[in-house]
Amino acid sequence: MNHKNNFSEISKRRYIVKISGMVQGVGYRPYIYNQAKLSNIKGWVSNHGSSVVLDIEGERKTIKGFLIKIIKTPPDLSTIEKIRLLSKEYKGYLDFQIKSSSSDAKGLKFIGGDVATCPQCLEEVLNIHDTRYHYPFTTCTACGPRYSILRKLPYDRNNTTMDDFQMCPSCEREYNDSTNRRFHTQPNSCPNCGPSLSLLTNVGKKVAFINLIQKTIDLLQRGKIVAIKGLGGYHLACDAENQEAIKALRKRKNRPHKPFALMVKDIEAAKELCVINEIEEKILLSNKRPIVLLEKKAPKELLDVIDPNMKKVGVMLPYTPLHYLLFQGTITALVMTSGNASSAPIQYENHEAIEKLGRIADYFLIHNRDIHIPVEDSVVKVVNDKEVLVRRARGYTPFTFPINTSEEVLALGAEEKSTFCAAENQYGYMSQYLGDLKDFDTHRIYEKAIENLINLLGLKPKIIVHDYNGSYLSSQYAETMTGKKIAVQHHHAHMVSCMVEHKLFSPVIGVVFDGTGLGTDGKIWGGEFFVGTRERFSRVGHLKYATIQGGNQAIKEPWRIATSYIHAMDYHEKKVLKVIDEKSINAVTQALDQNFNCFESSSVGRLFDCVASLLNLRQKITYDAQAAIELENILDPSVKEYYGYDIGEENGLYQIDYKSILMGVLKDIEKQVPPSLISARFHNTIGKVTLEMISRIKERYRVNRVVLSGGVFENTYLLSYIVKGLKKRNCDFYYHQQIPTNDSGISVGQLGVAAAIEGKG
Amino acid sequence: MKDKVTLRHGDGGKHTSILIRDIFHKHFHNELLVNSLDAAVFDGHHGRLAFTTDSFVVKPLVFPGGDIGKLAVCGTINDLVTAGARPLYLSCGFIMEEGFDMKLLEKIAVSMGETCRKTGVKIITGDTKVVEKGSVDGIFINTSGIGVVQTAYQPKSIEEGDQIMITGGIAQHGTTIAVKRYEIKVEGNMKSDCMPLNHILERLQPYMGSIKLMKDPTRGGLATALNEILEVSGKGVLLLEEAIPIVGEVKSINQMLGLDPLYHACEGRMIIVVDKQKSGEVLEEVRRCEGCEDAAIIGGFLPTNLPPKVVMDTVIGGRRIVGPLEGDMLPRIC
Ligand SMILES: [Fe+3]
Ligand SMILES: [Mg+2]
Ligand SMILES: [Zn+2]
Ligand SMILES: [Zn+2]
Repeated sequence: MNHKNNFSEISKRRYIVKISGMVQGVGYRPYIYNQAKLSNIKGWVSNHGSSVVLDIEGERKTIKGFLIKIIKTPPDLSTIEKIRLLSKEYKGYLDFQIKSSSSDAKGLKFIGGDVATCPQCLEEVLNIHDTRYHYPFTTCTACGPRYSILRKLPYDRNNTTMDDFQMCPSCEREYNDSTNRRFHTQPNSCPNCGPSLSLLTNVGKKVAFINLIQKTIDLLQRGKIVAIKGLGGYHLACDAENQEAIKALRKRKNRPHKPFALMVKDIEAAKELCVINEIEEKILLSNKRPIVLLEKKAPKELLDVIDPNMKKVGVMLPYTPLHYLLFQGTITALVMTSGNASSAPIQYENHEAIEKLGRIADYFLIHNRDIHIPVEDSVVKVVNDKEVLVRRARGYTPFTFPINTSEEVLALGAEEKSTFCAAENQYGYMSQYLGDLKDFDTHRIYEKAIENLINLLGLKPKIIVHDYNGSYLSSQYAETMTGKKIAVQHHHAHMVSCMVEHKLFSPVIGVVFDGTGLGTDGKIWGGEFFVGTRERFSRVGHLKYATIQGGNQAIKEPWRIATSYIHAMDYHEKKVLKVIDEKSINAVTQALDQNFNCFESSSVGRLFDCVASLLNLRQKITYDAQAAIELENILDPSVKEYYGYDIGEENGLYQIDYKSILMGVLKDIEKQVPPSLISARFHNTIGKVTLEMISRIKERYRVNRVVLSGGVFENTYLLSYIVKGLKKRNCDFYYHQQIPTNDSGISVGQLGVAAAIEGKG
Repeated sequence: MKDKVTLRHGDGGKHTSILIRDIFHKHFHNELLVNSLDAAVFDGHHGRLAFTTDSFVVKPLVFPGGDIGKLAVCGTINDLVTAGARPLYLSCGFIMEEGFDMKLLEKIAVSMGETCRKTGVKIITGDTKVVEKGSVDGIFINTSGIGVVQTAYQPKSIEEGDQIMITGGIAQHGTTIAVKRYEIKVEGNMKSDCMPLNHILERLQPYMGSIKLMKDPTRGGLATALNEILEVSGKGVLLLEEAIPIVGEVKSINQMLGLDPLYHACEGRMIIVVDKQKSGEVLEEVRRCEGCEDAAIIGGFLPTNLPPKVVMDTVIGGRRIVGPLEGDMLPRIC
């Protein structure tokens, strides 16, 4: 119908608006629909590929107001990346409609992460009069599973694992009612039509009970370990106040020291246990519901059982209806650790979980909604009032970020703490944290997750980026793929990951401290000072090389590192490493003299290991970076002193000499200075010498911008020390918040380097 | 005879003849060798023949459990054995530097001769060169060997249920060489596992129909050999760490030096892939062989729905990917 001649409509306009970003499966269209009705806008809205397209008509002013409204206050889960506005000839729509979707393979694609249960759904779950009372799979457009159940785009039910379930007429009605908050809720279901729970013994036998949740609560209260299927995989759960249960869990899981995370009943229960500031509270309650590393309230016996030596503990709040229901009994805190054996990845398939976890768990609380791709809990902390991601996984992935390439690129990441990135069309997509690829099951999930994300995005990567270290399993995986290969040096990737996060393109001073990464000279780097860009770097300084004996074993046994360092100094190993038996030390020193099974290392991480060993904090570690973490944990923050240090110069490279620093440590040990003081002095020294190096490099190379990266900067004290110093010196500096500073950020850096190289030519 | 090898011992003249007569012929004595001139001539054998060659440059030349001579004979014998062949004849070539100790040369020849007699293998032709001091490090030995393939043995395609057996403790040779070369003082008497394996082959004759594959885990050790088996078979390998035999001293010295025993060379061990049905009997049979008392079944093959890799279920839990050796952990071990 054409109303063009009607005078009142001369001032009316028509626009096509294309909105890209996280706008699907988040209730965006019903929101637009309602706003359009309120503002008297006519036309329609539709999903187009992974964008939303609006065809709208109205008074110029009305349209402006409407657009401002939908841009500024979009629904909770949505994020808008791009808006395109196109003026069209006025048509004269009579109403506003939601039109059915069309596909668009070329558009930007945004894949939603998994979201914690929203307050409205929770209310239903806890309301005895509601049809979804105690229903563990209650969800709506504002909450529930997404990425973990998604097989392909677009995000429609038949492309998810909810495809196995047919909606009942009542759910169907909600799904089709554009005024209902379950309008187009893809995993919508109710007790009549959706997935259901089963409780099994550890050999897979069904336990027949009417109320399985109540039974599970009873089991937990009786000190049993229950494997519980959650959103992205299995958890192993036990009562956090039951010492015996926790001991049994540690033993069966072969995890003697690594801290367990807690899930607590609510924010009040969390505040009982930990000191929580406003920002931490906001993150705890956010719909991403990560594990937040919080300071323990001392003294609290409960938390000491979890990990007696640590000042911090990882805490999360319930994020599925099932979790909330588990706290209906007397338990207020559950140990909730990834359902895996030792270093293996989180289990996510029912039969495999029972096979693998049967020796750890007493019971299994499972359900029949399949997890398509496993996703672990995310871990965050708050540093200098900012959210800092330690492990980017559930809720935070896939992570979409702008990157300067239109090529289809796949960056395969490092080997431990592995992630990968895919890119196309000026956007990068970072995977969830996957773990150590040397573990066979992790490697399987890594391969599956790569295939899955590539399929979701419809990519055929032409450029494959991997670490310069060809023996990494990720680099070996690259060899099995076709396409142009780009190898990126590990610490360059760290540096560039920080540049990508902060959208930096001009040259920077890169300070990269980590455990190990292969350098271009074949030695193990990890205490690096670079001057460079995304495309290339030059090494301008580093921690002086030390010869370390024992290969990979050295990383697991800090005493080997200490022996190696001390052996090269004018000091006797046995004077300090008294707890290590003499035969072992002799074997290592003989091998050092013969240069047998030794490597040269400039790693700052190893220097931390050395000091942790000298203080006899930890001689054998049972989880990654344990010694360094414990060294930071004991330090006395009121101590301001530091040790003497030397910066030498060789071949035009500044070199930090570790000898005077370690001499300081050794003299203090002789004087029986408390370890808390020695640790603080050592930390301060590393901070001081780093600042001094930066000053010299700034002067020599005339670069004023500094980025800090690498796993060592998970050390909050050291990071804050250096940050404070850089602020004082008026430096322009950056460190990680959204991209982890550890090796799980490597894939982002690799992508950044590849994009820069390809952009050149 | 002088007590040092001189350049003239390698000039092909009188001194060479004396050396050959007084050392090599004396210790390798057999009709074919003594009567051969430029080439040994021998009767043909029925069936398929196996032919192999290997050079030996080990350092140190003498080590607990053997020396370069024994190694050179065993190495070639064992390569023939893994091909299912009964070793018959060997050739040997010596490259020595001038000044090489004559007594040591004789000691090497003695152990070669002994190993030959024990195994019924004959060295029937050879060559000797002496080079200027420093051109080689002491002595290098090349051996080639011919054997007749036992018709009952043929490599077969591996199936999911097949078992993997090792004929004795791993890593003894590589560890012994390392300890000796780097003069690491350790307690206990560690010994190389260097030994000929033809007696195992003899014993296993009745089971050849059930034996799918044989391989000696020399350079790169068990891990590398299993990766080679993966390469040819396309089947993923599952090892059980707790089942792998290893002498306590070997284990502890590896721990001390931060070495991984899976990558150490063995010089007297064989990996045998055997049909599950017969694996028990075969294991019993192998254990009766001298030096194979610790033989064990150490794993099997991964189901085909899993990606083909060599993996190991570790003692501490978890399943670790075991790749082939990258670069040399220890050069000049054989
Ligand atoms: Fe790193
Ligand atoms: Mg050989
Ligand atoms: Zn909801
Ligand atoms: Zn329903």
